[in-house]
Amino acid sequence: MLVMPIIFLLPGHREEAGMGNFGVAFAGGYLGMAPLFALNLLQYSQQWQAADVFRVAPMPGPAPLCAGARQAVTCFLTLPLVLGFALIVWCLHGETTNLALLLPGLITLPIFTLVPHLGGRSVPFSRAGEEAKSTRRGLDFFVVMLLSVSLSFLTTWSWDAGWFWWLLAGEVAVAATAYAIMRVSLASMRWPSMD
Amino acid sequence: MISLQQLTKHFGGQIAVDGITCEIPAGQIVGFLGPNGAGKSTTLKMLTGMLAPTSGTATICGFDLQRDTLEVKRNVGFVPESGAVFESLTGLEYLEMVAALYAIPEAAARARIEQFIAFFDLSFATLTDKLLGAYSKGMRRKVVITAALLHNPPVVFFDEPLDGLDANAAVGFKALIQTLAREGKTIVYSSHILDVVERVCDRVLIIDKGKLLLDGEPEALVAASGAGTLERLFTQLTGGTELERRRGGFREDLPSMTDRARPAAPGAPDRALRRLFLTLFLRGRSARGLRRQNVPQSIALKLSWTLLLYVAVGSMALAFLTAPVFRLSIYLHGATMVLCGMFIAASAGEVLFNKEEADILLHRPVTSQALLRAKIIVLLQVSLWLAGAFNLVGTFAGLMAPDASALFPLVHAISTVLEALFCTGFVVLGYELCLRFFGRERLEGVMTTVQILVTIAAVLAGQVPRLLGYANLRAPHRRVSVVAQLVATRVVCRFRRCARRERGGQVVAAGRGRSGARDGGRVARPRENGTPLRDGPANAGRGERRTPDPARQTPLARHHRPYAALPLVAAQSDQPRLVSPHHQLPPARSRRQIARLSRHRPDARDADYLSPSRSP
Repeated sequence: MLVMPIIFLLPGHREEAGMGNFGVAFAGGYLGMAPLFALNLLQYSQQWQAADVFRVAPMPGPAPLCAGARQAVTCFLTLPLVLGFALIVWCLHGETTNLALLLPGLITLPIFTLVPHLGGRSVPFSRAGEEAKSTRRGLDFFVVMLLSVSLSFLTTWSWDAGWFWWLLAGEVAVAATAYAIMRVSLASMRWPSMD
Repeated sequence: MISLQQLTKHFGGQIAVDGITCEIPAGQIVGFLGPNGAGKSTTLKMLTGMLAPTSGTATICGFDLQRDTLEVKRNVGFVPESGAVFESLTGLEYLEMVAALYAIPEAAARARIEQFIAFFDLSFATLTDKLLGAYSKGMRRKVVITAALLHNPPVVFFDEPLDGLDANAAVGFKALIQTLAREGKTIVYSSHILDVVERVCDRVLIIDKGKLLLDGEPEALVAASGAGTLERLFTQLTGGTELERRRGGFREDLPSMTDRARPAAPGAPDRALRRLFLTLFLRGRSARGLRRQNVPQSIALKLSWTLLLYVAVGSMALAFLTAPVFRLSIYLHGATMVLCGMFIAASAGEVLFNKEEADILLHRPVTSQALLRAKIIVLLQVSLWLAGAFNLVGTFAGLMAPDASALFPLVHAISTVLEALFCTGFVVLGYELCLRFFGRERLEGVMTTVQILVTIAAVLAGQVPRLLGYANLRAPHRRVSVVAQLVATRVVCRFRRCARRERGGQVVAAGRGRSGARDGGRVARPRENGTPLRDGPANAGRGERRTPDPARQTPLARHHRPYAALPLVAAQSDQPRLVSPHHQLPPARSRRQIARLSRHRPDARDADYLSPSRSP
């Protein structure tokens, strides 16, 4: 999964018009997607029936479990990735100004971590491993990738056009609103019946 | 302590629990009995808050199940039937996790855990050092029971608690629940082991088909019914006696059932396999998940997702449509088609893993050739559906392009269909090769690699020709690329015909060369008298209704007769051959018998190979 942004960051692609900036923006978008896929995968387990213990426990809904999963993914996966990519960008480009291009992708990161849990889904270890092969996952991947690529294009364009910081401000406002709504929705979520 | 008032649960149209009403006081051990599917586990899941009742109410310790769910959960301990635990945790880690879920302080939890491990004769070192995956089933069950009792609940539900416990542990467990009852806890004990229930429980509830049939003390119920034992009473109530009666009749009926077996209609087993494969494929799920999703919903979901994507991608492309970007729009369309290929690949992979389940669902062993044939045909069929759907939108979108030539719809249609065929061929062949080289266990690991290869192949097959010469059909490189694509597709079609040829005299294989390609797939029906049609002066060279000359066929091809392949599998083993009355397959002959028969009677009919009365 991480191969694509690295390819875009490589020096050969940098020489092409605009590809250097696009590569950095694309890496940022990919970093935003990483927790989404990790959390999505974390819901599958061979011992999914053991997750009944979560449902029997006196918890109003899956929100505390989802929060724990988010924290784990952020600490053990996302942060090291962000640092690693920042280092790669800095090494390859030799300047720190381009690092700002990672920001639009990183701003979407909190939203992407919440998306898998909306509607009480993606409770950790609660679904059979076989369901991981569901074809819907491929489609989800495609949609998210499309969004990420679009954001990368937008970022590159705004960077070249000179209104990158306006884009960032707008994105922060939209992302904060969406994040707040999603958090409220998740906190009020109750366990769905196992029908 | 527990009060159920008309508790009901429906799953769609099916009634799982039908208005159960009862009161259970504190300190009572209640045996909850019923045959499989009676609604025991559903009732227990409702009482633990895992399932929402359709109607009716229940209170536990005075808390309403639906209003005060959290309070109910605090007062309930549940040992599920599965006894599943997270195997990558140690026993202690698991128990501490459960304690944290119930907000039990760490010190208190540790003390309680030590109390239980001493009772169950588990060593603390095992609990701290070994992962649960390394525990025996009985040890895991003990950990699960400990987890359920860790928060000292006043009500405990046990669903088949003795499953996996050895005799000593079972005796210990019975002593434990009696101790718990003496402490004033209410125990609801669901089990199939009736003598244990009879000895341990103060009261018995028997349910069947969701209805409560009997409620009372075991001795009193047995005495009142005159059944003698609880087991006999149980079988009388739940239809077990009827099963016993039928068992005798079944033994008498069995020979006549096999006598009545007739040869299946030609192609029927293949059709059944294809139907099964298609069903599994469309659901994108394994056979185990059959009940989870219905087909129309699944198809609608998949198609709507794919079309939505297509519209999104197409709209993006059209928004920027200028002459140079026209190619980009084509490329994006192709990229969506590639996604479609991956989509198919993922579904196909899912189904491929379930050959054993296909055996079970079809009530007979499935040969790998038959399975491969079914996969190819079904995947081609679905690919063409998808290609058709894409074409409709793609053609209209393409016609809106200002520089589109008049031939655009035609080329678009041909390219997309070819691409779908090509992609499908790669998917099936790729999976088959992986299955052979890596084995079923490791296939899952290489699935992603195969998908990537399929994607690359589809890109090469479909996108390169488009990008090279879509706008100018007369360009030589376009002709070359189209020819290359046709050749590649022909390989796939050839593969399909090879599979068909294995059906022998029923479906006539296409001959080599162009005439064969035209006639591929025509069906030669045997004449009324059973003599197969053969090449003769009248139809020689016309390529129609030909049957392969047995003299020119390989021995393997001679043996492969319709519906003969399946019984052959059974005939190879020393096990008694099973003939499914459902499919009415005829008795099989061994390979040696068939070889001898075909040597002596090259014009023999299919029935000759299968019917015992016609043996030479």
